[in-house]
Amino acid sequence: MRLKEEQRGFVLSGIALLLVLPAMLLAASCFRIIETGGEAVSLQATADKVFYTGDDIERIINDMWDENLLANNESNVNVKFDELADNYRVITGLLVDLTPSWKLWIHVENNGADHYAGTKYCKVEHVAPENWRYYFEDLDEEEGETPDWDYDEPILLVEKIGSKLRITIEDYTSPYYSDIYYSGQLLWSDVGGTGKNHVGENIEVDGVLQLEVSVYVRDPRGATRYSSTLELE
Amino acid sequence: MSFRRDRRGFIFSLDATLAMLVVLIVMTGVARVAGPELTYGQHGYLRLERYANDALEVMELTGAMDIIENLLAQGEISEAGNLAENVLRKILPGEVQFRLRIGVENNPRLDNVYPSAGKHAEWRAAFENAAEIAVAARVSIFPPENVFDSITLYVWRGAEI
Repeated sequence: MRLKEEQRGFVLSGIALLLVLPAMLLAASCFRIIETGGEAVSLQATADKVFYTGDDIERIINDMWDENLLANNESNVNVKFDELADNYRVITGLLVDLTPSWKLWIHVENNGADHYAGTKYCKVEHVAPENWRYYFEDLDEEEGETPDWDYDEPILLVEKIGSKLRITIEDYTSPYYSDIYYSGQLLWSDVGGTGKNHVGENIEVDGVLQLEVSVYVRDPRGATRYSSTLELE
Repeated sequence: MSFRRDRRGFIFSLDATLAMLVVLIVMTGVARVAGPELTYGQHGYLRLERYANDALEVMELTGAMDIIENLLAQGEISEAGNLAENVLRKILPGEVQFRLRIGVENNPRLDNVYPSAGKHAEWRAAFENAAEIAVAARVSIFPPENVFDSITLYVWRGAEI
């Protein structure tokens, strides 16, 4: 287009255009940096929250173990972990999963049930500084039986001796037979019955672990996670 | 003005000046977007949140929170409040104000612990009008029933009352 004499304006030369282009590129980069920085800070804040929550849950569970809230001769203590997780979910808005895994359990041969510590079929009592008693119930509601809830099938004494646990069968008052396990290790089979098989016997296992709790905390978007396994002995 | 043959230099043309103006305008715009408000918005809040979380952590580690919980269990609510107030005032910087609540909002075991005793109405107003509040929350076991309850610390930047 040709400009007439009375028409005025600026002509952006090639050099001027070259000067403007880097400015545009620089501006775009700066905006990107700001956006990424904001996202990083937001992620950091969420990560902090997740970390503080996970760390605090570990502290509480350790306190619960030290103060015998999990070994106070009550059955179904695993419910406390659900309550704790619910409390944290409500106050932090994070997703919290606590999964307890007790090491001692029995397999009842007559009804085929597996009864774990921490459930309604077992009570744990801290009887002395390094001694615990586990009281199991062998009858099973889910198998259509009516438990008498006397929790003496079997009664196990667990003593912490150095880096080992000595487990003694103190009693078994039932016609049923059970196998006793420590984690995946079979300690005795066919315990109990009318002949009170193996009652009075003891066995030592390597390790002093009695309860493992898996702690898993994450924000609802799944951007940050905290995962740990707490070993209680 | 005419240049003689032996005089040398750069001529800064009008369109170059305009280009420089565009560059300056763009750069100023970017600087404004990434200014102190945004930097504070990002890092200031993060710091505030860390103040709150670290304060609760310090109270746990020093055993102050255990003492407060035991005082509450014994019904000594004002002593628990005074202790919490003193401890938090020592932990948090002067420009950071706080409100501590133990228990749920509608039925707290302890509430309205502010940086200074009394003046609750003024502190409450300051809390409600704070531009930005960071929250730290914990769960604790409360004797004698050994039930879980929450501990919530709100912090904000503001002047002392």
